[in-house]
Amino acid sequence: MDTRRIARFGLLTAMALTLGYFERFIPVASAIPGIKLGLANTVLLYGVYLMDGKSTWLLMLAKVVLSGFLFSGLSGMLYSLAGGVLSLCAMLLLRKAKEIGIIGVSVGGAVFHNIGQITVACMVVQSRAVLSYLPVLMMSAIITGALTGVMAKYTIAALKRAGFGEDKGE
Amino acid sequence: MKLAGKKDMIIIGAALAVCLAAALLFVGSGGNEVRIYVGEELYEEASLYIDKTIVIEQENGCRNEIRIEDGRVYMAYSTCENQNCLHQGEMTPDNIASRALSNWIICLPNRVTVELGEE
Repeated sequence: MDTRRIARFGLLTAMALTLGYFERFIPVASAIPGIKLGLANTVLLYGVYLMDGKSTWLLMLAKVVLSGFLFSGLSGMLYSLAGGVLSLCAMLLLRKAKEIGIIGVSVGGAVFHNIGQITVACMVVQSRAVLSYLPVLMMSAIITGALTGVMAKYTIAALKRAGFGEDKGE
Repeated sequence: MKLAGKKDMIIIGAALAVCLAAALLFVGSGGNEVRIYVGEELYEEASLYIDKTIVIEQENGCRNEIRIEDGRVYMAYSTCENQNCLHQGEMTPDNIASRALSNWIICLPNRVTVELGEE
């Protein structure tokens, strides 16, 4: 890792943690855990487009572990780890497909993030009640995924112009 | 800069279809019977029209109080950290269609769920 990549990695990790923290103060549907804007996960989206796969996995793990210790606790860490792994798998696969733009990748990532969380909730609670979460969470993932995707599209274009993402795939 | 291509729309469409299917499959129609579960086990079944407070105390220290009152049911107390179950508010046979979690009140941390279903 050269210093440039280290600096970028640190910056993205810090951004993910900060956004994840402030996101708590933006109420979307407070009674339903899992419904958030997903701002922290957009940082992963930037990772998918600006860094190589390995660094992006590392970024996801750093975000999950650090925000777990700082804010959400161990059980929260389990939920965000499942969400993070599934959503990153989905985003990296969709990113490779031709003609799928950042909006599609973002929506796919958001949907699979919520599927990961539902899966953990199913295992923890072992009740079919959890399945009634699914439609609400899916709908919110589509909306927030599309919104953050639009945001990321313009941000990434600007970052590339600023020379922030030139060594992709090194 | 083009915002979204055809394939992006296909992804969004597919996600919407799954969402709709999940809604049709998993969203209950409600009823007059309150069923309370701890994990997958049925803890207690009660009528929505007989006022009652149901207290659940688990060995791990978790405590929940579910109140049935004037034909509505709600979580009145919970030891859980996030208190989401209290914020989910009351269920009546009439408000199920407009509730995000339809006929359920869910306390994930304490593994307690309340269903309003058919007898």
